[in-house]
Amino acid sequence: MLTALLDKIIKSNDRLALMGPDSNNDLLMNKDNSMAQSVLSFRGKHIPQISLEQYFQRIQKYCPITNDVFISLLVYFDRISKRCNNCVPSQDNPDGEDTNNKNGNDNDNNNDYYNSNINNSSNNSNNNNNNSSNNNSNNNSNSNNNGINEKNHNSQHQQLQIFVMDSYNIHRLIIAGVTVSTKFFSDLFYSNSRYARVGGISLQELNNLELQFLLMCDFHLLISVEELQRYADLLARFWQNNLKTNENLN
Amino acid sequence: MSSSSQFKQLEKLGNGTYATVYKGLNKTTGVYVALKEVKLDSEEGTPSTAIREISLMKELKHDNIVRLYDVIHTENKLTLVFEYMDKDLKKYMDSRTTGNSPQGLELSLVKYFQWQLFEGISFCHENKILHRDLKPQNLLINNKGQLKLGDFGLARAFGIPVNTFSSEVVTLWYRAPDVLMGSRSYSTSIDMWSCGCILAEMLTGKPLFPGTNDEEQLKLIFDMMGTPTESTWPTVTTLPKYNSNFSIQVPKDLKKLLQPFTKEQLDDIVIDLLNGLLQLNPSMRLSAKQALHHPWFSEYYQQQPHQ
Repeated sequence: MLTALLDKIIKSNDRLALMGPDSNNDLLMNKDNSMAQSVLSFRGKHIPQISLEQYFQRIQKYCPITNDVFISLLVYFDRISKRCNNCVPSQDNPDGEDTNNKNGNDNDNNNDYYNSNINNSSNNSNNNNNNSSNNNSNNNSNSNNNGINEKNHNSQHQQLQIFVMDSYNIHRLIIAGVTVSTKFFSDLFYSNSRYARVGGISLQELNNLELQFLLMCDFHLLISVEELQRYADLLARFWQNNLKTNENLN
Repeated sequence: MSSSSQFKQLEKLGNGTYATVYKGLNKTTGVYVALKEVKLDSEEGTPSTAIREISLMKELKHDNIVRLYDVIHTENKLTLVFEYMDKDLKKYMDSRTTGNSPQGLELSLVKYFQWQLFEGISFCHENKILHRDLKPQNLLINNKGQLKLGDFGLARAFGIPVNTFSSEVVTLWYRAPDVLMGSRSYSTSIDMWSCGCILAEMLTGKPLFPGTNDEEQLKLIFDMMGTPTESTWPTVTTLPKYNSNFSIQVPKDLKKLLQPFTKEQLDDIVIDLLNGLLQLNPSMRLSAKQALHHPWFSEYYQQQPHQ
C-alpha cells in the first residue's frame, strides 16, 4: 500500500519537477502589486538542498497525507497561476474576478489551461537561455517537457507571468499548500508548528505563507470530485508519457 | 478586497466559536453588515474554522444562506464581512417566551421557517457541503421573516474521500444517534437529524433532546424514538459505541408528547415529517430534497416558489 502511495508521490514529484526549473523571476521585481508581493514571499534566497522527492518523502513520513491532498496541490497551483497571470490588474474587483474564476473552473477547459500553463513556462525557459542554464539541476525534466509538449497547443498569452513556480519557491509552496489543503479537507490535521518543522521553515514564516497562499487562491479551495479526478487523470497521462519518453531515450 | 476603513464598527453582537462579531456600517453604501473578526493565532496560523467558513461560504450564494460579502486582511486578523441579520432563531424564540413557560411558534411561521431551512440545507448538500452544526443559534432571521443558515465553522466538503471525519461535530442536543455512537461515515443525513430537532423545538419552544452528555443524549433519543435493533437498523450493533445494555424502549407517539406544549393543534402531516427526519437509521432519514416535497409543504410547491 505504501509503495503504491510512494509511486503516486513520485509521479507528483516528477510533475512538479517538470515545472520546477523554469524561472523568470525578474518580471516579479517589476510588478508592484499585492499579488506579486504574495508570490514573492514564497521565494527563498537559495535553492533548498533537499530534492523534491526527498521533501515529499519527509512530509509523508512526519505528516502523512492522502493522495487527494497531493492532487489538490496541483489544482491550487493551477488556480493561483490562473488568477495571478491572467487577471493581473483587476485587484479592485474581487467579486467579479471570483465569479469568473469559478465559472472557468467548472468548465472542462480547465485542463487546457493547465497544459498551456506548462507550455508557457517552458517557452519562458527557451526564451531565456541564460536563465535555464543557471538552473540545470534537473536534466531529466527537460526531456519531460518535450514529452508533454507534444500534446499541447495554443500558447498565445505572452503577457507578464507573476506566478512562476521554480526551484526557489516550490518547497515553500508545497508546505504551505499541504497545510492549507489538509486543514480544509480533513478533520484531523497537525499543528502549524509541526508543518513548519517538517517543511524546514519557522512557524512565523509558515503562518505568513499559509495566509498568502489563501489570499492567492482567493480562498477558493473547494474542489469537486470531478475536477479532482480530471487532475488525477492528467497526472496519470503525464506519467505514462513520461515513461514512454524515458524508454525512447534509453 | 475592500479596506477596513470602509466600515464603521458598531456594537458587539456576540462571540462566535472562534471569533467576535460586531455590527458594522458600510460607509459608502450605508448598508449594515456583520463583521466577524478572526484573530490570527501565532501558534495555529489561520484557524481551520476560518479557512472552511470563508472558502465554503464564498461558494454558497443562496437566499437562505447568509452571504459572505468580503474578507479583509489586516495586520494580525481577518475580518469577514457578512450580510446583516437581525437575530438568530434561538433569540427569536426566547423573545416570544411569556413568563417562564416557553411557547411554540405559530404553525404557519414554523412551516415558513422550516421550508427555508430545507431550501438552504438542500443547496449546501447539492454543492457537496455538510453544515454539521445546525441549531437555532446558527439560523439567522431578519425582519422580513427570512431565515438563513450561518456559522459554517464546522462545515466541510464531502464526496472527496479524505477519510477523516470527526465524530466531535454538532452541538450535543442536535447530534444524530449514529454520530453519538461513533459513526465516522456519516453524510447529509447528519444535518437532517438536526433539522428534525429544530422543527420540534420551534413547535414546542423547548429543545427536544436536551442531554448533558453522550450517554444521556442517546437515552433521551431512545426513550422517545425507541431503541434500535439489527432489524430496524442493520449494522447498528457494529458501531463503535453501540452498547448491548441500552435499555429497550418502544417508539412513543410524538403527537401526544409534543401536543401539550404547542401553540396550535398538531396535525398528522407535520408529525409524519418529523418522524421522517428523526429516523434513527440514517439511511431511512428523509433527504432535504425529499423533505421539500413532503405534503406538509404542499401549499408552497403547488403555487410556484416565492423567490
